[in-house]
Amino acid sequence: MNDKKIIDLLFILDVTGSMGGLIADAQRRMREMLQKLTEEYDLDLRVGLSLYRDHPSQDTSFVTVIFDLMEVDKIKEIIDQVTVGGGGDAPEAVIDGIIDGTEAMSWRDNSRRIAFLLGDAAPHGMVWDEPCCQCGRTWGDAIATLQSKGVTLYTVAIGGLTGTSATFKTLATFSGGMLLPEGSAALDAVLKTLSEELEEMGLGTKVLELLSQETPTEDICEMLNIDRGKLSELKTKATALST
Amino acid sequence: MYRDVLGFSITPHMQRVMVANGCYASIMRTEKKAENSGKGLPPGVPIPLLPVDYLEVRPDHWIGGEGSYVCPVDSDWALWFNWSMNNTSDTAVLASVKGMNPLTGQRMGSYDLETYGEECPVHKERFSTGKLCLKCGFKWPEQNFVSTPNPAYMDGYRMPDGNVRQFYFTEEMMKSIPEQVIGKEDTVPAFGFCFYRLRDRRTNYEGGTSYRDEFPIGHISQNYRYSSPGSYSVKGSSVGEILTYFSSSAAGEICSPIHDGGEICPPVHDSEVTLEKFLGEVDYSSESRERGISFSNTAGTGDVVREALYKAGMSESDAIEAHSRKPIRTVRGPKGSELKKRSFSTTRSAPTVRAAADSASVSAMPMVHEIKDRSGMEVGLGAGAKIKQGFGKAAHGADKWEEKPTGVMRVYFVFQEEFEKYAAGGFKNLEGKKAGYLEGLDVGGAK
Repeated sequence: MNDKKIIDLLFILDVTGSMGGLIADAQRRMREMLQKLTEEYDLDLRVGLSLYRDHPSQDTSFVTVIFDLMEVDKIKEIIDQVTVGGGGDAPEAVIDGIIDGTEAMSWRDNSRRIAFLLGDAAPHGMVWDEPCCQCGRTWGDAIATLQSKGVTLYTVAIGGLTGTSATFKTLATFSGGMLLPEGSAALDAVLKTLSEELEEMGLGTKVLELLSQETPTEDICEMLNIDRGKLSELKTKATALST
Repeated sequence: MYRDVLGFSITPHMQRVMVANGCYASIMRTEKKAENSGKGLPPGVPIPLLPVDYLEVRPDHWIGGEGSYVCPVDSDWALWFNWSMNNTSDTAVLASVKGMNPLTGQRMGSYDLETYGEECPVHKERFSTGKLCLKCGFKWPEQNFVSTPNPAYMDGYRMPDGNVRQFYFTEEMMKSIPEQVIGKEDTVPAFGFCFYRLRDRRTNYEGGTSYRDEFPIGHISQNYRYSSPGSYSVKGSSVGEILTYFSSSAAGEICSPIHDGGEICPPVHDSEVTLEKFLGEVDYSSESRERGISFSNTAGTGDVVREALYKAGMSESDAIEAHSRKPIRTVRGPKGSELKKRSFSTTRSAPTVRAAADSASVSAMPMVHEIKDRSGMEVGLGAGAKIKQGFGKAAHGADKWEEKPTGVMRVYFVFQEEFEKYAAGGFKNLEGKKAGYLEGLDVGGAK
C-alpha cells in the first residue's frame, strides 16, 4: 500500500508587467518551496501552473496559459522560464486564471487539491463598475468551479494596489481558504500553510490507524495532544481523503 | 464532521456558494448590530451549506435537486443574503423568508416580479406621499425584488416606514417575523431565491483576437507546437507536458455559466419552476393575507456605495475617500456595452462586491453555549436592530426581466443539533451522478 500523501497543487500566477519586480524572487521561492516539500515530506506531489494576463485591449498576448499537473522537476523547468509583460492597467483576468487552471488540471482521485493565487491586481468584475469579467464570467463562476473540483484556494495579494487584498480575501474565503500575508513573506506563508495541511494529514492518518486498533479516543487525544473536536475533524478529513 | 471557523461541525461536502443554473448566492453570518450603533452594514463570512441531495436521511418535505441546500445555524446569528457573485448588470432576485417577501411583508403568492406605481396593490387605492397606503399603514417599496446595479444583498426586513431591521436566527418563535405577519400556517422553514435575467441581456461577450507576438515561456516557446482554433494544445519537446493555451476567443466560447460540475445539480427548465420549489415546501395552501410588517421606526438610508466599500473590508474613512469621483474612461467590454473603467493610477478602486470579513472576527462573535438538544426545534427569523440599508428603485422595471426565473434556490435552515442528526444518517456518493429528477441515471458514462 502506498502511504504517500497525494497532493495536487496549482499555482495561479499573475504574469503581467507589474509583477516584473517580483517574478524573479517568486520563481526562486517557488523552486525552494517545492524542493523543501519534496525533501521534508513523503509526498506524491504533482504541480500545475496557470498563468494569466488580461483580455484585449488591455493585453494582446494571451489571457491564460495552463500547464497541467506534472512532476516537480518538470514544473520547476517551466517556472524558471516564466517571463512577465503586458496586462495594461489593473484589474486583470484573475477569474480566467482560476477557472481555466482549475478546469484544465487532471486532478487525481483522492488527492488533496490546493490552489495558490499570487497576484498584485484585483480581478475584473469585482472592482469599480464592471459587472463581470470581459469574457462574461463572474467571481461566482470561479468559486463554483473550485467547489466543483474540490479545490481550496489560498491567495496572496502582492503589493499595495487598492482592491487587491479585499477581492483576494473574498475569493479565498468563499472557497474555504484564506488570504495569506503579503510582502516578502508571501511564499513563506504559502509553504507554512502547505506544511500545516500536510502535518494535519499526517495526524489524520495516525488517528485512523489508532482507531482501527481500537485505541480509546481519550488515549488518542492524549498521545497526539489534541482535543476531541480536533480528533473528530482529523478523522473526518482523513476518512474523506482515503475513500 | 469537523469544526468550521464558524464554530460548528460541518461535513466535507459543504459549500459556501450555492449554485442554481449559473446563479449564485451565499448566506453570510455577521455581527448582530446593537440598536442605533451608527455604523454601516457589517461584513460577514459565508455559512457552509450542504446540498440536500447528499443526505441519506432528510425530511420528506425537503425538495432535492438543483439549488436545494440545508444550512446549520445557531441562535442569535445575524445574517445577510449575498448575491453579488452574479453578473452585476443583469440580475434580479426575488427573495422569500419563510414564505414571506421581506420587502413587502406579503405572503409569496407567486414568483412574479412586481413594481408599484400609484396605487396600493392590495387595496387598489392611490398612495399617499411616499407610497404610503393609508389602509395598510405601509410604505410600499418601489418593487418586490432586488436587482443590480443596486447592491445585490439584503440584510433585513423592510419595515412599514421603509426602514430595515436586521435578520437574525432565533429559537424564540414569538420573535419570528414571518409567523407574525403571514401566520404560522403559511410559513415554510426555508429561504427561497428566484433569479431573473434581463430579456435583452447580452448573449455573447467580446471574443477578441488571439495574438502570437508574445509568450510567457521565453526561450522554450519555439519548441512548442500549436493547434487551433480556440483552445490550443501545445506539446513542449523540452518539457514533454501538455500546455493549454486559452486565447481570448476561447474564453469567449467557454464563458457560459459554470455549474457545479454537473455532479448534483440538474439544470432547471422553465416547466420545472414552481412556486412550491421556490418556497421550499411541497404542500402549500392558504389564501393571501393583506397585512404588512407591523413595526415602526424612523431613520434615513445610508450611502449604499459607501456601505459596500465599508463592508468590503475598508475602514469607513477609506470607503468615503474611495467613493470620491475620479476620472472615468471607457474600455472595450462585452458586446453591446461599454465598461466604464477608472484609471488605476489615479484612483482608489471601489469593489462592486460586498466582501468577506476576517474569519477570526466572525468566529469571535458571541455563540450560544447552552448545552441543550434543539433537534426538531423550529428556527425563527427575528428583526433586530435598525440598519442603514436602502432598497432603491430598480434600474429596470418588472417587465424588463424574463417572465420565468433562470435559477431557483431553496435553503432549509436548521439548528446545529438537527443538522448533525441528518448528517449522522450518512452521505450519498454523488460522484458522476445527477440528483433530483435525474437521480439514478448514469451521467457522463459514470455508473
